[in-house]
Order: sequence, then structure tokens, then C-alpha cells
Amino acid sequence: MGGILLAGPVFLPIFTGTLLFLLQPWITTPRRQTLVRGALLLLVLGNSIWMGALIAINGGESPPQVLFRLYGELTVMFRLDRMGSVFAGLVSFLWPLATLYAFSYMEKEERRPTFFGFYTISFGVTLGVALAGNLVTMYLFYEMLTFATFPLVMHPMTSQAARATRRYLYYSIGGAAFAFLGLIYVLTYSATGTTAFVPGGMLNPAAGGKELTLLLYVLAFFGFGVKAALFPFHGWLPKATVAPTPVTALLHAVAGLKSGAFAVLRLTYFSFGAALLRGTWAQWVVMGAALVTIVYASTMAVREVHWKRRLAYSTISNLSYILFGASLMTPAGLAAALAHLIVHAIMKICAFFCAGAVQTQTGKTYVTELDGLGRRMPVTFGCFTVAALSLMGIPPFAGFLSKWSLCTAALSAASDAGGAALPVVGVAVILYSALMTGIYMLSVSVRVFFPWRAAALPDRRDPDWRMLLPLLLFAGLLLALGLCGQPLLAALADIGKEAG
Amino acid sequence: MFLLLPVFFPLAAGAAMLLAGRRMGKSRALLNGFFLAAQALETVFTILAAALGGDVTLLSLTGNLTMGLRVDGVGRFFGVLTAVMWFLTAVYAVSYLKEDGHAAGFYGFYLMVPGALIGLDLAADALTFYVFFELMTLTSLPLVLHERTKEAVRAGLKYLFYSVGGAFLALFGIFYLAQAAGSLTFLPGGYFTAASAASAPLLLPAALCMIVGFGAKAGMFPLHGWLPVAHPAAPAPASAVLSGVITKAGVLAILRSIYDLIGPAALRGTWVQSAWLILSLLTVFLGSMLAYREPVFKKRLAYSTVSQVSYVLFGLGLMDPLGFTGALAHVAFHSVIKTGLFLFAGAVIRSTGRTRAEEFQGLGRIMPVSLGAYTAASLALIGIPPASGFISKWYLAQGALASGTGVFRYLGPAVLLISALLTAGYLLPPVIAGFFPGKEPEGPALISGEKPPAMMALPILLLGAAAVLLGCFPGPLLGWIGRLAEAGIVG
Repeated sequence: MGGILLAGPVFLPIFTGTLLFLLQPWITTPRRQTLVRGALLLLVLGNSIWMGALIAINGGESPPQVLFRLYGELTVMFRLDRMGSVFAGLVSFLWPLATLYAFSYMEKEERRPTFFGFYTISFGVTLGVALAGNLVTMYLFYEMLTFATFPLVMHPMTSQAARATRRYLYYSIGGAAFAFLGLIYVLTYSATGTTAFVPGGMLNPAAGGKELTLLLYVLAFFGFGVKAALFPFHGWLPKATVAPTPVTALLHAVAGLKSGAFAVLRLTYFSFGAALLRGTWAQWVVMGAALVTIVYASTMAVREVHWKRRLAYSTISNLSYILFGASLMTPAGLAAALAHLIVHAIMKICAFFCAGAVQTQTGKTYVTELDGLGRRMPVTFGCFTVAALSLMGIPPFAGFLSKWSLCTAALSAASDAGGAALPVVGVAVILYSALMTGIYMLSVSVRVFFPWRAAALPDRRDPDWRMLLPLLLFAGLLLALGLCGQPLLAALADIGKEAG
Repeated sequence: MFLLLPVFFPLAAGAAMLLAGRRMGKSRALLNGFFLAAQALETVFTILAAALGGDVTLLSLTGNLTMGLRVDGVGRFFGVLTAVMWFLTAVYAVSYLKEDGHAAGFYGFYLMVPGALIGLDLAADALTFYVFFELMTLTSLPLVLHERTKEAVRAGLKYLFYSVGGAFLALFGIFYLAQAAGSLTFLPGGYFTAASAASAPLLLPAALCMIVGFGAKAGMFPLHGWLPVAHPAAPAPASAVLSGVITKAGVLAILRSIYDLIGPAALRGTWVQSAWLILSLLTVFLGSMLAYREPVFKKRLAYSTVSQVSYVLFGLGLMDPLGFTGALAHVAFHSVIKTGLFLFAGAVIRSTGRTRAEEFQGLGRIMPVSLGAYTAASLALIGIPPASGFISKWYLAQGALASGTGVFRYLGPAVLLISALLTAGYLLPPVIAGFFPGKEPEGPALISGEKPPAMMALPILLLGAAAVLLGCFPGPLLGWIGRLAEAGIVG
């Protein structure tokens, strides 16, 4: 019974999405459209509440539930633990709001049932990644996520979209192949005989040889890192911004990329084990890769004038903040990575939604076309500026908290490791990236609010409530988290202590 | 709890002005009345807070990291200075922006900045300080952008990026100290001694990051590039407070980091102190030289600010009680003088439309009082006794000679002397041209224009008089600063 309860939030959206495909011929009149829309929103909301209730009732932890056995130790198993609860809770909170926003955004688009079908399926699949109790299940849902989301990138049905989709598929599947090697290795040399996640790792340190273990870890890290847009495998993400904004905002900035980062956290802290990796060459390789990504992507974001692509580069750099936190291999590092995973989701979805709102209201997609728009769409750009300040890590916004956790974790990791240089370099890199963030985000804010006096102001308005409500909620949340985020940080620190 | 008032009242008043300004814009008298009343209230609140003292905790972060406000000697000094300068300039701004249709926007942000500044002055720890430091950058940015010409927008972005970049550089130091010292609450004398500094391997680089990073706000080389661009691009009242008051926030930031966080004992005699002194002396010389070569009057004054604020940083870098006294005295004097000079430059632009220093022929016939006040302020900045600049420079030189800083004991006073000559060279030609244009002036024709209104002339006159009188009767001020210096150095 408990198994069904736990699997429910994963399969309800998948079922709902499939149903939507079947219903497609029936949705012909505006009346039926409204009905379906309302039902869909209720189902998504209900699913989120279900998920939230599961977390609340079980206190974030539940016994493992084997759903079915593929073969031998290859089982599909769900299990709620506190780290999974963090990710599942985050996704469940964001999804209904994003759906509401998508209703408004997609108003004029074709093939809406297909879009919302895949959109809803992705919800379930992402929760599957969060609730997966072993590496096999996580890998399964990780692959499914690729296939559930590529039709969404494809949605505009232009040749540009087709190219972007192809690239997305090649990169994701290629990455998954490397991750698969890691999976097999863990399965073979697991001390428990299964791939079920154990805080602190379950790999038998004696078996397999140390060097081989490290090599496989690095391969798997980069494999899952593809989804987290780790340099040099980041190329698919800026291209994939051709997708409708709700997709870029939610799937690329939150669900998809965060699944990659989440998978890396599971791999590092719950499979291989941080203790095994700490201080090895593997740690320095993955940390170096994360730092290179941060520098590269935040510099590219400054050069990019297409607004959504600029935000995509910003996403790449911020995802590597999370990977940097993961690569510290300390409890504080894991806690900081989770903090940035949460905070970045909120601020990036807020920023992307602003870009989308402007796109639907004015059709403008380049930063250079936005002069003076802030005077006409003050709420949208006000929220954007809040997201910008938070991304830069300016207190009292939430971004400062996660940046603070990351940097203090890095500095204590450096002093624990007897003065290792790379974590200190990491702090410098994060501060450099913060400056770049200031340049690529605030130059937009200045441009929209302080146009040259000669320029004529465009005649546009803020979008309707379905877009504004999520925006205002996110902006308010960033401030609230920044002011009283201490309980959250304390909870994350506990998760870190358990798994570090 | 009273401490919250001078910090949050101006933020609220400014926000109200921004929201309601468009509606009030019809009635200029109402707008001006609200603006001046709010500004006057803010000044009263600040002085009351300084007199009453106290402390308040805002937030308690993990463990021993707390955020709060507290009144101490340095905070009193900077707070009262800020409030007084801000009010005088506000009076001037009302008259200066008389014709400006977008004055409400300017007023709104002008009201907000002192909230951030008083927050800086009263911050009890580095985190609170950092919050208000960023807030100051963000609220003062629209003042630079106000003209909204292409040039102003470019200058504003430059200001923003230098400030934010500098702040992030300094943030490295804050991160490090949070870990190494375990607390960020300001402690007179700092957390480290020469002995305990050895156990913190990154302490010295972190200190340099804080000096250079916060130094951006004070216009210190190598992050000075924004200042001569951004200060002149703003309307004159904004240039005045940017140069006269906001650069001092950078000084305060360095003072707090070194004297109340790291501890001067840990830095005395290290390479960081040498680097600090070299950078500040270089800036003193560089700023004066560039000011001397600059024909556009407001830009010249901005370069002068670059140079003069580094006098203060040099004094702090000496880590000697006399140098510290000279530095803080120069903070007050330069604030008075430079605010006055910029207000004068604005009055010239409003009355005659002239912006270049060599075009002031015959200015003395139009605005004799203002030009007289300008002359007094200039003499004070050059350091001619008994005007104020002489006192602070005397202490700075004494401090340099008394400090055990090797070659800087002689190099410092020498650079200050050369810079004083250059200061005379760039500030006095307008005086000569203004009062003594000669019978048949060569070059530009005699200047013509209207007398500046009383609301503009009065602040200039007051500041000019203060520049001289503070030097004639320096006793109480120096006594107070001397006690601060003892507390700051000895701990």
C-alpha cells in the first residue's frame, strides 16, 4: 500500500499526460478547452499536494518500496529520503505555478494538448528521479526525462528547433551512456550487493582497484554532468532555448538540469561515497571542470545579446556552482550544493518567466530591443531585477545565502585539506562570476528602467495575472528566503552531515 | 530601536516619493516641501541617534554570526557628517533642479541613499555593512543616470560595475574572515595580533582584497577609473554628495575591515601595509596630476577627489595614532570642501552655462560671494594655514614621520607636498580669471549670466566658511578624533 502511495505522484502525471493525448480530438470548443485546462491544473496541483503530504507525514523519510524487479538486483525501487524530499518538494512547488504561466504563454500557440501532455509527463518523471531509491531507478527515470522532454524542445516545429532537438538528444543519450558505465561498476562492486542509495556511499573500497574506481567516477560524473551542462558538454542548452519559455524555464533551468545535478549528488555522496573520493585526483578533475564551466559560461553570458540564450549561459554557470559544491566532498559542500539547487531554481525560473512575459507581450527577444520597457512593464522588470540581484548574491536576497554557504564550505574544505588551493580558487571564481552576473543581468535592468531620454517609450503593458502571480510569488520568496532562510540552511546542513 | 529610524525612514520616504512623485509633480511646491521636510527629519533622526546611542540586533544567522546596528565613535562621526552634508546639498538641489521635469525621480533616490549610508555608519558587523554597501551602490546609481544621456548611462554602468566588482573582491575577505576569525562583529582593535596572524595563511591576501575592493568606492588606484567619469556625469548636487560623502563610505569600509576586523597589529610592517601605502601615494599623485591637466571643471574636481581621498587612505595605512587623526580630520574637511566646490561648479553651469575652467573670465562680477567661498575652500584644500586642510595634512605628515614605515616616512610627506602644489595649480586659475580678468582678456570673452539664487549661494557660502573656520578652531574636533584614534589603534 505504501508503495502505491509513494509511486502515485510519479505515475499520476504520466497517466494524466497520456490521457491528454487521447482526449485531443475531443477538445474542440472553447468550453471544453476551459474544462480540460481547469482539470489539468487541479490534477497537477493535487499531485503536488500529494507529494507535499507524503513529505510532511513521513517527515521526509520512508522505508524503501520495491515496485517491480527487472532482473536480479535490477529493481525499480522508490524511497523517500531527506535529500530526495528537498528536490521533490521544490519541483512540486514550482510545477503548478509554471503550468498556470504556461496557460497564458501558450494561448496563441498550436498543438496545445500535445504540449501540455508532455509537459505533465515530465512532472512525473522528474519526481521519479527525486524519489528513486537506487541507482538503477534513477538512471531509468533520467533516460525517460530525455524522451519526455525532447518533444517540448521540438514544439515550434521549425528547422532551428529540429536541429536543437537533435543536439539535445545526442548529448543526453551520449552522457547517459557514460553514466551507465558508472551504474554497472557500482552494481558490480557494491558492498551491499545492490545499488540502493546509502548515505556515505555503498561501494566496496577494496574491490575493483582504486584507480579504476576513480576513473569510473569521473566518467559517470561527466555523464550525468551533460544534463547539468558541464563544460565542454554544455552546447545543447543555449540552442535548446528555441523551445517555448515555460519549457526553457522549468525543464532546462529546474527539472532537467537539476536532475543532472541531483544525479551527480546521488552518485557522489550516496553511491561512491565522499570519503573515498576526498583528496584524490578525481576530486580535483571534477572540481576543475566545474570551475572552468563557471568562468566560461558567465563570460559567454556577457557576450550574448539574445536574452533567453544569455539566461541559458547563466544557467550553465550556476549549475556548475552546484557541481562545485558537490565536488568539495564535505558535508558542508553537499549542504551548500542543495541550497544553491533550491535557490537557483527559484531565481532562474523567475528570470526566464520575465523574458517569456516580455516575449509574449512585445515579441522582443534581444536585450538590445528592451530600452525603456521597464517604464511600461514595471512589475515584470521589477521581478526580473529582484532575480538579478539574487543571482548576483546581493543580500538580503536568497542568492546570497547559497553563495555564502558555498564559499564558506569551500574555504573550510581548503583548510581541512591542509591548504588545498583549488577550493580557494573556486571562491575567487565564484566572485568573478558574480561580477559577470552583475554585468549581464543589471545591464538589462538599467537599460529598461533608464532609457536615453531621447528614445520613445514603447506602448506595452504588464501581462495578465496568470503570468504575474508566479513572478510576484517567486520574487517575494527570494526576499523571504534571504531574510529568514536559516531554518532551511540548518535542515540542509543535517542532510549534509548524514551523507558527507 | 530608535536606531532603525534614520536607516529605514529615508528608504520609506524615498520609495513614497518615487511612487507618488508623478502625481505630486503637478504641484512643485508640494514636491519640494515634502522633499526638504523628509530630508530635515532624516538629519534630526541621525543626530538624535548619534546622541542617544544604543544597539539593536536585526537578525541572528548561524551560530555567532549576527546582523545588527550599533552606535560607536566612528559611526557617530561619519553619520553626523553624512546627515549635515546631505541636508545642505538637498537645499541646493531644490533650486538647481527647478527647471527639471523629472525632479521627482531624482528626489526619490536622493532621499533613499542616506538610509543606506547611515546603515553603513551604524553597522555593527561586516555582513550588515556589506548589505548597506551594496544598497548604497544601487540607490546612488540612478543619481548618476539622472540626465539619461548616452554619456550618463555609460558612466552609470561603469560606476555600477566597478562598485559591484570591488565589493565582490572585498567579499572574499569577508568570507575568509568569517571562517578564520569565527565572527564578523566589529571589535575595536580587530581579531588578529601579529602572533595569531601566522595561523591564518590567507589573512594577508584577504586583507589586500578588502583594501583594493573597498578602495574602488574611495577611488583608489587601480579601481579608480569610474570616478572621473561618473561624478561629473551626474547633476551637480549628486556630484557633490558622490564626491563629498559617498567616497567616504569606501574609507569607512577600509577602516572597519582593518581596524575593527583584522586588526592593525596583524598588518603592521607586512607587505600588505607597503602595498597599501604605495597604492594610496600613487593615487594621490596620479589624481592631482590628472586634475592639473583636465580642462573640464567638474572632471577636474573629480580627479581632485581621487587624489584627496587617498590622502585619507594613506593616513589610515600608516597605522599610527597621528596618521589616523589626520585621516579622519581630512574626511571631515574634504567632505566640506569638495561638496562646496562641486556645488559651486553647478552654480556656474546654471548661471552662465560655462563648463571649462579656462572660460571663467570675469566670473567675480556675476557671483562674487560664491567665487569668494570657492576661493576659501580652494585655499583650505591646498592646505594654507589657518584653513582646515592645513590641520589634517599637518597631522598626516606628523603621522608619517612618527610611524615606523621605513621609506614611507619621508616619501609620504614629499608626495603630499608635491600634490599640494598641483592642487594650487588646478584650483587657483579659475579664481584669478574670475576676479582679475585683465583689461583685454585673450581667448574666451568675458563671462555673462545671472546671479545664482540665494538657495544655491547660501550652501556654497556656508561650506566655504566652514572650510576656513574648522581650521581656525579645530580643538574640539581633533580632541574627539584623537580619542577615536586611541581606541582604534590600541583597542
